[in-house]
Amino acid sequence: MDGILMRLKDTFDPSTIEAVRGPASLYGGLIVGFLLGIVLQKGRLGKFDIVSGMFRMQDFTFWRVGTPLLMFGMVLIYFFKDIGVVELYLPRTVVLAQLFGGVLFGAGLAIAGYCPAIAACALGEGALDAFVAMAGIVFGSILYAEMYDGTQLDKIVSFIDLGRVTFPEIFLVFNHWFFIMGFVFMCAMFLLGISMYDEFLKASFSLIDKVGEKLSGSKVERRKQPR
Amino acid sequence: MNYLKKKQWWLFTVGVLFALLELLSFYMSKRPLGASRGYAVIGSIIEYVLFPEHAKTVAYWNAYEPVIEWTVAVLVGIVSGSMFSSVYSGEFKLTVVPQMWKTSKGSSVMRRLIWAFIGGVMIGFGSRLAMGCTLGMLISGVIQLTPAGFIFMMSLWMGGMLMTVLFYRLRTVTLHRG
Repeated sequence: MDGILMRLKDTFDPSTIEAVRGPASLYGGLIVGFLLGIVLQKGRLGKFDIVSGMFRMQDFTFWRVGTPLLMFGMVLIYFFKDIGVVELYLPRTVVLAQLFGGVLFGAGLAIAGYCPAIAACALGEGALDAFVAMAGIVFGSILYAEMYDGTQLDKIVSFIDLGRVTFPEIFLVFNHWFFIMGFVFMCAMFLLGISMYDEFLKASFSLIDKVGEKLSGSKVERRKQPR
Repeated sequence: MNYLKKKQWWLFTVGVLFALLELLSFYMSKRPLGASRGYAVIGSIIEYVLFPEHAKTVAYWNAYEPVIEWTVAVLVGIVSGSMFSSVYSGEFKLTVVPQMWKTSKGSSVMRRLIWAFIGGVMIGFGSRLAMGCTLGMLISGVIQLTPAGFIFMMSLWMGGMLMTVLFYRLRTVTLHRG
């Protein structure tokens, strides 16, 4: 018991709370996370109904948030990289790992309804099943670490390892702004279409609610659509 | 402050603010936003606290030292920020079984918790296999124009759609939205 407490004390390094900037600072993480929690909650993203509704093709809130996020994020990051304020931190591209991992991740997302960041947001909103999902995520990480060790999992999944590359480097395009321009244009068109379709779905579902109310004679429990 | 009391912001604004947050994270913390690494670090801490001898022999924990760091702070921040925002706008409500789950799978609490845990294990395993979650791999990968993010986005969509149809069967369409 004493040893457990000693080791628990070991896990906290007081020198990490001194600064706000830097990759290891705790204050920086808290500030970013706090703002992120507010943004996620105000977009109504931390709800099972919205995540699951996306896969049921009933609710495109995620796409309507994600498209401007990717557009503006790409433009901002590359603009500030070009003027030398930020650097890129590229993830490693391992084709098979990302393919299988993504399929497994999506399957879990369809069942649990919370992705890692959304689960934390849902827990803040009072959804208690999100806490169980978070415990599951921790358990899954431990499971992967144990399996990674004993088996040859790493060799199997890292079959096509491209390293830390970007699309402009792969296709030998001399200026990345060509890619960004094309992506942003496609995203703008897509955003227009998906927003119109989402509003149409919203109207039809409220119509279904109204008709059901009329037919059954009693008041169906209807969730408000805050605007 | 009146703006914070609203239950929902315009979704375009939410997206743009999210992009600015990503930029803030790149500028201030010198790393892309990410959530699933925090869970791995928590797992590493749990294993280090309970079985210190065994944790030393696991090679995977070399990259995830059992120290409370930035990613865990982000998780704590997300929970507190979301709680602040929902309490402030009067949306905070303790629930266990979501509405859409009730119409598709019944209102049993135990069943929901067991499936949430199983789904969580799949998410954790998949995110470690793919080296990132939706935040750290999909969003941070796509906005830096890496193939990893695009591959992860497409395979996530495939797996999610397939599993939804297989898992909810005929109750996939629920006739109401959240």
